[in-house]
Amino acid sequence: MSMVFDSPDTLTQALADTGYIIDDELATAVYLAAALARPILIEGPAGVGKTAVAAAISQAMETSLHRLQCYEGLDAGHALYDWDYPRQFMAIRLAEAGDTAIDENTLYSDRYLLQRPVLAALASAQRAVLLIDELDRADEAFEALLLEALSDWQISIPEYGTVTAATPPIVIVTGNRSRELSDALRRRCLYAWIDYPSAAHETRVLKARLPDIEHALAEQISRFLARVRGLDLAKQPGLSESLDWARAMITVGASDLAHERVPTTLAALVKDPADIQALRTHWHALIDEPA
Amino acid sequence: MSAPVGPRWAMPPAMAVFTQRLRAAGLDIGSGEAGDALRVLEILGVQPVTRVQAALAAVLVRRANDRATFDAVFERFWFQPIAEPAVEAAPDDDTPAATTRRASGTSAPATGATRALRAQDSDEQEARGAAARGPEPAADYADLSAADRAATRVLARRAGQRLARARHRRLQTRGQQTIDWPATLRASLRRGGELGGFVHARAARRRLRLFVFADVSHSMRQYSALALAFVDGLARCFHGVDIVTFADRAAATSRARPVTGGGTRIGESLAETLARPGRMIDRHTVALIVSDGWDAGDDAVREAALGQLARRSGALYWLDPLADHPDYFASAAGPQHESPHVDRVVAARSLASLEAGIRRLPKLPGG
Repeated sequence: MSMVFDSPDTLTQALADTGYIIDDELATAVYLAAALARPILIEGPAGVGKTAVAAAISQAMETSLHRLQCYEGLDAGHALYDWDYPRQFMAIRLAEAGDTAIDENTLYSDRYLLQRPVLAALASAQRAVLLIDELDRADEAFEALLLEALSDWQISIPEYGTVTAATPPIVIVTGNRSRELSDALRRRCLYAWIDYPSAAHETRVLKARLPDIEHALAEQISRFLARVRGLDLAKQPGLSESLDWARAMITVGASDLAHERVPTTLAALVKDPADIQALRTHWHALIDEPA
Repeated sequence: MSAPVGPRWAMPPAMAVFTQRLRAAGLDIGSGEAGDALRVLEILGVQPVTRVQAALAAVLVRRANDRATFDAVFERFWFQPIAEPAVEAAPDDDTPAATTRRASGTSAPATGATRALRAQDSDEQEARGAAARGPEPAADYADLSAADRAATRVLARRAGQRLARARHRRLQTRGQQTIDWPATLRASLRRGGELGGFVHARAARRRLRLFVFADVSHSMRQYSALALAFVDGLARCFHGVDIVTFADRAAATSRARPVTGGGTRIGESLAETLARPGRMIDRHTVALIVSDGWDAGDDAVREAALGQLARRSGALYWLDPLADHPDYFASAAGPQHESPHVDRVVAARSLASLEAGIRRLPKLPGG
């Protein structure tokens, strides 16, 4: 299998070109997942860039991104494949009307096979990126359903046969640890954990994603968030909230955190009334810049 | 890799020993992962040590919680300092660092991380030993040693799994009319294409959420470790866990955290919690109150709050660490025993009483 990226460094640079700043540890893990043709399970708090890394990889590779958003009750019909039953019934009716025999091989052919994200990624002519997002939201039975696809890069369809990937996709599996994923799945995956970013990393991300932001403001926001994440909040703000907040500040014309309108933008940063109140309570200590 | 590697060391045996060390430290590593580790090193070639460490972690670590152990073993195995002369390395110490030390006549001092790991190893061995023999079944949890507490946590998780699979009140799946299209099509084909009717699929049992309302007042202090271990066991089995701790008032959080302050006001705290927007409690939620029942609040407020919680949830259980304590008569007459809204009081003073209480829960067919 051809290597998509030559090294973790080329991957880092390719993702940086798309605006995604990746740290070396995650870059190494993603590079190895691509090189070994293994899925990678990325866990971490919400809003730290787990989903975005898949989009950035597909953008860097200029290939398609197949996204499977997991939820409770998700099944093979929505994740792997399904048959186009209305069209199949219509074909049966037309055959009846035309007094012709029903050919089951025709009925279970490509024409009536609906490719869901996993099958679409496996059947893709070029190496695709498959994002299985928030797998911990799906049922354990669904995890078992994925094992064949994620280990052998194939899906067995009883009426059709086995679809095997010519080029295994790059598979990113994400989770927020709302429940424990099975060992069987973990064994098949490489593993990476994305934590809240350091202030320096956050500044780089803000600068990369918001070219209009002043460097000083980006640094202020990063330092502020490092302090905020030390508070005991119901929900810590992630990188996505940090970006939203920075955009909000640019929108209201704030050039630094001491701007009078900044407190009004806090709803973009934290989404819990108690957390907003906590930030307002500690506001002066949080924005206090060391001399 | 810049680690000091002795002359008789080739990478595969070193990696085999390294993975053995990780297994000994508690990481679950199969032969496949060990092979992947070698492949990773081949793919990467010569790289900075931090990158090699990250690469090995990607294939050998499966959970974030294991990463600290991995890093400590990695450091101890590959990077024990070789500068200070001291006692000769132990003959059975077959790490690359030890091999080099034997060749150079040096020995490794205990670094901070190494000392921490050794202490951790000692604790883990003690815990493993205790787990093997198991805690005294009828022992009061407050009297258990640290090792027995660790073993108790393991067993409490098993008990928690059983609770997650129990058939709770109001959690029976309703007969949903989902059309099974493949079965419908197959039935139609059997009739020569005639659609005789839809075949309905049986709805899958929906996974449950857990809402924990945990008393962290002074009287519960010595039992909170067991309660949290129990909740931790539950968390692995439920679809989502929401924990609120309370003493004199509720601290809304999805993470358990202590709240100081005396005077337990169960009813007021619960009412305040239920009144907050965004808390998902429905018939697919099992509600669990963890408290000894000491209550300085208003009885009417408490009963109203318990009634509301019982109506909103699928089942309401009360975990009481003092329920079966022979000298604790006040608890026996506490609100958890009087309230008609509580489905069952589960005693949790000791593991034996906890397991007995869990066993009395109605089981799923085949569960």
